[in-house]
Amino acid sequence: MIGGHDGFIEYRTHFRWAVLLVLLAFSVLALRLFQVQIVDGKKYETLAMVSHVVRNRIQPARGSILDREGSVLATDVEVSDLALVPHYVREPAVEIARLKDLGVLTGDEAAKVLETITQAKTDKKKRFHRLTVKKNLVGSRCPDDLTAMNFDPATSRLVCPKCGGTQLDQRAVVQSHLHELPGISLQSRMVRWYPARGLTSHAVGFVNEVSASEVERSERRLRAGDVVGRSGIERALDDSLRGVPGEDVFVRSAGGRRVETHDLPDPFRDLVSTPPIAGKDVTLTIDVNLQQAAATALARYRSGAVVALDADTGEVLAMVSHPTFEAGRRIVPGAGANAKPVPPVTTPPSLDPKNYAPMMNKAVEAYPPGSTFKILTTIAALMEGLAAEDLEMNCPGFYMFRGHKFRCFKHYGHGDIALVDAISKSCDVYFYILGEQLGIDTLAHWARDVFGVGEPTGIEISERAGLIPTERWYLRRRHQYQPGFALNTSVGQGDVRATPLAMARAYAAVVNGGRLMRPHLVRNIHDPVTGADTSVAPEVQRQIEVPEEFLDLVKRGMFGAVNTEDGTASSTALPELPFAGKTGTAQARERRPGAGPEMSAWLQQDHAWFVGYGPAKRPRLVVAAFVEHGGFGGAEAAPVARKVFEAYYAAHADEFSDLWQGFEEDVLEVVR
Amino acid sequence: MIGRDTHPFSRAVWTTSVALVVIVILGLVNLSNAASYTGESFHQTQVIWVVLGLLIAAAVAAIDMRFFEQLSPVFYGGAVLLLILVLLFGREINFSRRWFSLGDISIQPSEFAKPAVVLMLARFFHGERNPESYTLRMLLPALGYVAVPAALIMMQPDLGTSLVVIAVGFSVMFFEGIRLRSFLALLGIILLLVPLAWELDVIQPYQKERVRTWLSMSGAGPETRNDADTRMQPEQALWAVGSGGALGRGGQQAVQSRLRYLPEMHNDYILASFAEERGFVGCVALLGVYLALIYSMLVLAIRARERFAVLVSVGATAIVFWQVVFNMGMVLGIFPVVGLTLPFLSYGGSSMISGMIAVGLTLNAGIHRGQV
Ligand SMILES: [Zn+2]
Ligand SMILES: [Zn+2]
Repeated sequence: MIGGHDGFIEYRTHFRWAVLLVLLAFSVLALRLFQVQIVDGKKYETLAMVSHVVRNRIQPARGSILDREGSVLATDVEVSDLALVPHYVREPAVEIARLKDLGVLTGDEAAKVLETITQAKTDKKKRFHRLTVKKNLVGSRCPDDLTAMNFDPATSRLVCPKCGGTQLDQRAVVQSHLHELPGISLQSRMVRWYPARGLTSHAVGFVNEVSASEVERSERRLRAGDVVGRSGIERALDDSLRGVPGEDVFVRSAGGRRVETHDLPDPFRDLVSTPPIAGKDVTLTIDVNLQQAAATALARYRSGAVVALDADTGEVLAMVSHPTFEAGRRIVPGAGANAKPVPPVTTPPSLDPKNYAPMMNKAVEAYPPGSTFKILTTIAALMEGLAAEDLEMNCPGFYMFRGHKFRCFKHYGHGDIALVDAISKSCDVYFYILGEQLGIDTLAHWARDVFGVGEPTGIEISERAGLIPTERWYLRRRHQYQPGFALNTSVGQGDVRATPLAMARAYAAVVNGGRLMRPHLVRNIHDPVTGADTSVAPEVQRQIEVPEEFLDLVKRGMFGAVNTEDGTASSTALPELPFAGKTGTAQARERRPGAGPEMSAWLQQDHAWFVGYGPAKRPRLVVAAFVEHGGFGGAEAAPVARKVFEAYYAAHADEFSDLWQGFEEDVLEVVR
Repeated sequence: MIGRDTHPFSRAVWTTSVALVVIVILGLVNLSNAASYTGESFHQTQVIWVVLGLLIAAAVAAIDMRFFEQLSPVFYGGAVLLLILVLLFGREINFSRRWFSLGDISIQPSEFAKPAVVLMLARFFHGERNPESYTLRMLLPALGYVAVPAALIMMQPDLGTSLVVIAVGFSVMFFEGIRLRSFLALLGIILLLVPLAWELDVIQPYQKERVRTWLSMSGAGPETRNDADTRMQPEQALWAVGSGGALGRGGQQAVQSRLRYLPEMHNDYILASFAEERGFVGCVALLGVYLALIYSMLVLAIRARERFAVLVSVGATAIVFWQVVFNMGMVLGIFPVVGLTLPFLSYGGSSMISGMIAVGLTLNAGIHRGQV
């Protein structure tokens, strides 16, 4: 009996409540089990094979850079690597032996990979890490060094020089056997390739991987491993070229296989992949043939630059800086359509190009322009009413100014000389006098504010501004000003600094009727996604109002410099289709610490310049040739320019066919 | 009808014993199957715990109940002392101090706190000679007996065990006859304490994350962006259960359980691998055996002759019941992840022996009927 415990009655009630509670709770559990196992069982069964979600960033193909005719200057080449996740490699020995049989791995490589797998499999974490076991997948007997590969521009593929196989072939081989190689995969990687070797390195620029700090600053736009443009067009148009990365989202199954998310139920179905958006292709104004001609002409010198502009549009047809560097990788001659045997683009073999700033783009670097500047002095004087065609001066070989003797380069003097001849023969005394009369500030106004020398030209890539000194500049920088500075400035000496590009642009304005163009390297931007093309229109930065008769005077002076017997560049004339221009020989003595006697002697020499246009009768091309410490402009720079004109004429022969006969009259006309 | 059966080994005693043995065997088979996925032979060690546990259960059942009644303050005090010591000197695993290390084995004092609290409560109510419904003021000491170990366990932190202690305490009080008004007042206080604990960071960030995860799983909370990652473990346990289907994949065939990211698979999530192998049928059978065990334990409790034995048995039953409900509820996604073992199925010495002590106490009440 339950006697003695009154509470026991209550216990019996509570017992019933307790049993009820237990039954209720167990019913809930059973119902939930029913829901999970019976109702949703199929769904969970699908989910159960999910191991984890994988998100792979897909690098977009960086846009290509092409020359004006479509030759590839820079492009992304797809390269495959062999990768594996040790945990999912079920039978390492069998699978690696298979790869060896397929000719993917050599015996040594196979042994090494096998050891790596065996080791990684013992580590709880490492066995899930993806390992790249062989880069640049090619046949086991092919060189695994990418630099040894040939580039086929037609397919944008790398070709093995030994067996003629492509990476594509090897990939296909591995791909077709992947089903028997669990845990092993192919990974694609883009490599920036510059098929033109060093030819266009300075204009095109180069890319490399971002640094950790750049990744941080980019606010998730960049990731480690991304490449960005570092110089030239690669840098200037980086945003257009780069494209937008995509994301490959999928689910890894328990067996290590890929499961597409749309095959899965709810939480996974929302995970969608996004394709990458390819970068835009940039077509440059550069003409590789002209570029090649300029580079070849410069090759015998240690250092120099050539800029060739379309006189009307400001398009940069050639921009060569010498010596050059090879961005990215080498290309073996004979591999592609445009790969005619390429003469070495280098300094004379006895000299190390590294000593001559190969990375620097000398076409946009500022140097004293010497006598090429006289064209601007002339126009300034004409416009200020200080000169005229018939203005004659006497040159005894020097000019005495306030007790200083300013020498003409012709030490025994030019005698009595008029404007046109003064240009042709480059009489310094004539321009000293003009400079004295103009004053340094007026000179600076015409050169810089009107002709844009000494200020940035506005080209896409980074450039030096150069310098046209003024009285204020001297007072601020040198704390003194002497009127003699104006004389030095008038002949492009002293502190005047101009880039070959700026000089070429100023000359283009002289011969195109006074339009100061913005020089540009980009001709067209092609969006491969929309197919849209954005062409770059010529841009007139300034219309210079100079009477045609003044411009004619200057042009006659330049014609004479090349095409008359005692012109400064007479030895380089092209009588069949003359070009014209102005030589420059700029004193630029330098001292460099650590330079040997040979190098020091070189540094003592003058800069050789030639800026000219052609054909003389119908100016289309402006060329600025600069040979650093090259010596006399007429002897060293003018022949370089001539080679560029020759190449240009050859390519545009039919355009100028009507001009071929007329040269004699031109010469006569000027001489008369 | 009650008390008519004077044979010491009543049917309820048999039922309890058989159910216990069945569950223990199921557990061993399941663990040995799991060994084929984890590669670790937990089942071999577990056999030792089972044997040791059964011996302890038999011993507990055999000893005179008055022994427990007299020594319950000692057990209770010892348990509280161990809980304090474990906070000070315990081994830290996964940011919580729950274990003492003795050579190769670890001891989890909170497991033994559960029966200790039951004994202490039973003694308290046995001493109170007021059979009428208790007022809140009268319950204060009892509340203290529950609150102290619960708080200490919460500090480890081990939310799950702490909840079980509280639930067991309430079960005993409820059974003894707490007034509805007092019960509601207590419930109100606790409901007020929960958000307070949340705000004051008594509840650890990882526990909050689990609650959020659970809320988003059950569709009650806002979906967060990295849900897919944070809810991986509980979700995958659910997938394992679900992929068992009606009949299960069969022994050692549980694909999901074979995966590496169910780290507590032999432990808190043992149900997942059982469910995947045995399916709905197996799970319902398991529930049935648990039901048989708990019901027969309750029967033993109600048939006990003496208030102390009744309450001890009820408390012991409550330990097993709440632990089963919380653990299964967690694995099945009904509750947030709290980290609790499934009695007699999960791997582990402390929980096995603690569970055996609980069953032993009820058997004691059933066997020693009439000897008080
Ligand atoms: Zn080959
Ligand atoms: Zn002179």
